[in-house]
Amino acid sequence: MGTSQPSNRIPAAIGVGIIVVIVLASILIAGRQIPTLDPSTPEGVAQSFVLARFDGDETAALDLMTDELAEQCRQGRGWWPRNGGRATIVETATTEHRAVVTLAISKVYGESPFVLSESTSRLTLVMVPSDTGWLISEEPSSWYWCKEGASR
Amino acid sequence: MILLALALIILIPILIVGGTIVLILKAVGKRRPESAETGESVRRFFQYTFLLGAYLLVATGIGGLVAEFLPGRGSVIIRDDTTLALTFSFLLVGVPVLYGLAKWTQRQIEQPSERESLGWALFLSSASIISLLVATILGFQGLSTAFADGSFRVDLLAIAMVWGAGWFAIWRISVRCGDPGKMQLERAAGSAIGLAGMATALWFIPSIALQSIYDASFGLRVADDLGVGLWYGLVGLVIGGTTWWWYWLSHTAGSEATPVWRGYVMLVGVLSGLITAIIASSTVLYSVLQWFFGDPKNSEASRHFEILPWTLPAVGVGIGVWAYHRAALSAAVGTTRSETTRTYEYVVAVAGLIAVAGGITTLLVALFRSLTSTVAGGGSANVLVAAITLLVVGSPLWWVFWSRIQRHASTDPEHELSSGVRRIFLSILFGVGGFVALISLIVIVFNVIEGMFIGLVDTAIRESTVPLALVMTMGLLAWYHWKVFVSDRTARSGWVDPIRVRDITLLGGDADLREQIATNLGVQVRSWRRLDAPATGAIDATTVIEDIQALKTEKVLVIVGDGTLEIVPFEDG
Repeated sequence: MGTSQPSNRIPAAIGVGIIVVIVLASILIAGRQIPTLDPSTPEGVAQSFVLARFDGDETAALDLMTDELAEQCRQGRGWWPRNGGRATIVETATTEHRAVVTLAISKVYGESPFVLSESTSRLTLVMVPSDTGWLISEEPSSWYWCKEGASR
Repeated sequence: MILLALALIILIPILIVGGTIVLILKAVGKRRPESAETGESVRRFFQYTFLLGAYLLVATGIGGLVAEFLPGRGSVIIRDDTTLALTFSFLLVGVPVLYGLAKWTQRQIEQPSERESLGWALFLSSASIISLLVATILGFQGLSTAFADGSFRVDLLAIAMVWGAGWFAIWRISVRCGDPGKMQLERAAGSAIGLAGMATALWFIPSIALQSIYDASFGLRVADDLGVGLWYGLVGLVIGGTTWWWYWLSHTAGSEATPVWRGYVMLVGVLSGLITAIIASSTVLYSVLQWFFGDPKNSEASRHFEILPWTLPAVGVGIGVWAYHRAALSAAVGTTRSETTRTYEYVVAVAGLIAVAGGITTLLVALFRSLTSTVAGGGSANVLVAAITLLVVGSPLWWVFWSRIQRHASTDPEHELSSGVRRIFLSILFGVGGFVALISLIVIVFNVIEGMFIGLVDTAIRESTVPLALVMTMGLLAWYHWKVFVSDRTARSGWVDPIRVRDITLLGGDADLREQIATNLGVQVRSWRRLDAPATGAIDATTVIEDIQALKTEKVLVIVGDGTLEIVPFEDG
């Protein structure tokens, strides 16, 4: 006596769906172009700053700060993850004299796919206008680079 | 410090055993409130809890005393008076209590009802396993440090020997006066401890050797600890292997495949081996795919792949443990499809399904991440690689076993669809899938509402990618297994359910007869001992089983007398 089990058609459909999603995700990830934001805007400065730090280019990062903050940070001995990070803008609040850009910085950790985890932290950049555009004027939040005594 | 560790080791099992006994007492009390058995159970609970406590106090005290005054311990600069006072307290209180309780118990276990009681079996099992754990752990520490770096910790070895002697004494008592059926759990626990130690050593020895070769090959070596590591591994292999040989090979492997035996082989042997193999092989595959298609954790290949010396041996050990226990199971239950073989197939299918579910969830997360706007960095490639890894490892495993199960469901539906194992697994998968999906949905709704309140809906949606992926995956999983469950139920409803025996009461007869009836008919057998006519002749279990199967009734009373056998069908009236 045979029965009509629904199992064979459904797993086959799920399998096809998985393959489609894999192909789609691969195309999207491989062909992903991160837009270059206007460097004269607070969002553009935030993008340049995060990219500089991801690349480990401290000089470029310091160039985006006011002279006072840059000097303070040159004395500091903090650190920043150089690769694997991902930054998204959460919120931007701009007035004539001040701009605050909040970013979410995510990083995927784990040696095994079973224990893969992602940590996300917020990075708030406070900026002031200058002759050349916006400059970071306060030490970034959740940021230990400029802390005196922190080890790099 | 050692005493503190011992105290913790002792306290936790006492709480567990005590809690278990209380629960059992409550259950017994509910079932037969007026029975004198309840009073006996309360007496046993206190008697054996105190006996166990006294035994542990004395063993701890003797161990501490021997370690304190043993020659060759090195020059003692400051003696720890508090520890010494505690040791003497343990002995001064423990020895007379243990002596008194042991004498009392010795008289009582002359009665068969006491020897077969659950309290006595729990006492023997707890004392044996605690002693075994302390002896093997301290023995491992003492011997490995002695061989590896020459620091001979005679105190550790002395305490290990004291507990080893205690374990041996308990073992002898359990062999002479324990109920073999109720001691199976202790044998399984001992086998599991031995297997864990041996498998860990079998993984550790080749791993540390491979690590040394790897480091030397790529110039990564800063200090060579191969010799030290090998000694640790060898000592672990000897202790774990000896324990496994004694418990499993000598006293369990060849015995009857009872539910406890099968449970051990299935859960400890098959499942643990399988999980190890799946996790280790996923890690290997992930690191390879990550190197070629993802964002490697290090730009130098030698640094990126430095995990391989530790994961490759784990794959081998996992497959070895799985294959060995699979073979043991086949040898014990034969080729006939039974609930045991079904359980095995469903367990393996579920292990594969967990990896597949993890893969689909991770894949959806990768897709959602690729759709969200970023200003710097990618990081989604590794997530996609992880998803593909889980799917590559889990899908074949799930498909091979699930399609085999479904073939049986199509060709032999009466047996397969009526199987309790199938119903339980489908219900669990549907239930767990639905539950996780529901919780994830609550998290998404919470994120969105909170985002609305603080004006960050976009961020809330972006941060809900994992729960959204979980809702979709677990919802799909729950829906599919619900469809199978409903399909089974529809098929079953078209059949005339044959009346079969579900409740057997055995009056007289031995534990072996009870076990054979229960195993062959797949029902629980209540057993009562006769006081008027104890059975003396051997009863052919096959005849009893065939006679019961021939009855078209749900309840049967089997009366075994002095060479007589009576099978009485009955119903509630």
